[in-house]
Amino acid sequence: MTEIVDESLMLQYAQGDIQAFTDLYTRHKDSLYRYFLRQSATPELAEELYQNVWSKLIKARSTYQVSSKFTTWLYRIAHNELIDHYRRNTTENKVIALNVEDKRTEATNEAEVGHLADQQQKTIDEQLHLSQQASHLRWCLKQLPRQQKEAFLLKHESGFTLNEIAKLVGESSEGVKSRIRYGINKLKHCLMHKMGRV
Amino acid sequence: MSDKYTDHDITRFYSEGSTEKPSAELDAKILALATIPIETKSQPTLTSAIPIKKPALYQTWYGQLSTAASLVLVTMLYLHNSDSFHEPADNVNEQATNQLMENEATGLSSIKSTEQPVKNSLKKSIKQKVNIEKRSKKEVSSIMADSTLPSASSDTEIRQLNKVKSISEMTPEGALEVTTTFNKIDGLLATEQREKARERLIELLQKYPQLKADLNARYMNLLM
Repeated sequence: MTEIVDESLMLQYAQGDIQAFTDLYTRHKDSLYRYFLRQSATPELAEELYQNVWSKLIKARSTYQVSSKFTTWLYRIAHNELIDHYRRNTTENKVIALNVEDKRTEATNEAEVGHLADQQQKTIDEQLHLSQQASHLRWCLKQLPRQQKEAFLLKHESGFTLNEIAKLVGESSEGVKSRIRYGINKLKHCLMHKMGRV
Repeated sequence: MSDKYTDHDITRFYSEGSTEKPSAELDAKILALATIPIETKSQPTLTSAIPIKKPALYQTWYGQLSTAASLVLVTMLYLHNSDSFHEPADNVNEQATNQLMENEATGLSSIKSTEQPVKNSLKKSIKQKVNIEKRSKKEVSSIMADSTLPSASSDTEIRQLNKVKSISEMTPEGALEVTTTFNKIDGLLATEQREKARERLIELLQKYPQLKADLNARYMNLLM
């Protein structure tokens, strides 16, 4: 139902309804932002790519046709934007600033602790533990190969099915399934290593 | 918690940690961008309605000028060089023959002994042979005409007449060789190289013994 509404909102926006776009944007902004944040070297770059995608979508509103799901269209633009960026800056993406990442992890860790403290149903220790795990997982996710990372994010962040991801990235469903499977296994190993369980 | 993580754990940890959001400033920027109306395609003006087609090269002044200049150049080159193109072949052969004779007289025709490549010498020798053949035929015919004169009493004239008698009975190739060899012998005698001239003459007589009967006193002396 949500998907149908998405497409309707986009069509309304194409006809000049700004409120329709605001609703659409509010609905998808967070997951799309994190999609870029997880795959970019810096938050600034993620913001730039994120803005570019919305800008392209806005420019293409008059040509929009309901041929597929709105989210598929949105993430296809996002995927292409990311691929273009990787092509332009191949060397840049080889370098992952681990120190910067660690510092960022610590900072978000603290913020997250504060956020999770509000949840009264969990004890402070559990919250801290969960926060630590989430922080490590984000770090591990950064270490994944690009394609595995993207497949994982499209599934767990944006909620696409295997077939939808396959269509979006131009791969077979089996290929996407393998990518996600390998990705999750690597995440598990990485997390165990980070928690000192190996 | 067990030592090993499950898929569910990974999903849960990821969901727990996924709290980042775009900044309010970024949201505002994008929402502001969305309010900009779609650019209506401007009505084509008189100048922009008709697409400016790039003229073909022949339609431009520089294209026409360069074509005319090319034609003039080609015509001038043709007119300038047409005389040499249409020069009779005999004249060319005559020139080549004259040059060859000069070369031979100065002893430059001994290509075999030089270090020139075989191909070049072969080509040259074939050209020379053709020219010499023509030349010798002319020479023979002119000498034949002169031999009817009763006043042919000088040594050279007698020698030429003797040569002609025997040469005229030979094949064109033989006549050519004999004429060439006699010319070389004369050249060697003129440069006081009697021994070499004698060797040449002996070689020639071994090949063509019938010439011995017609040799004049000068050549006979050389043999002694």
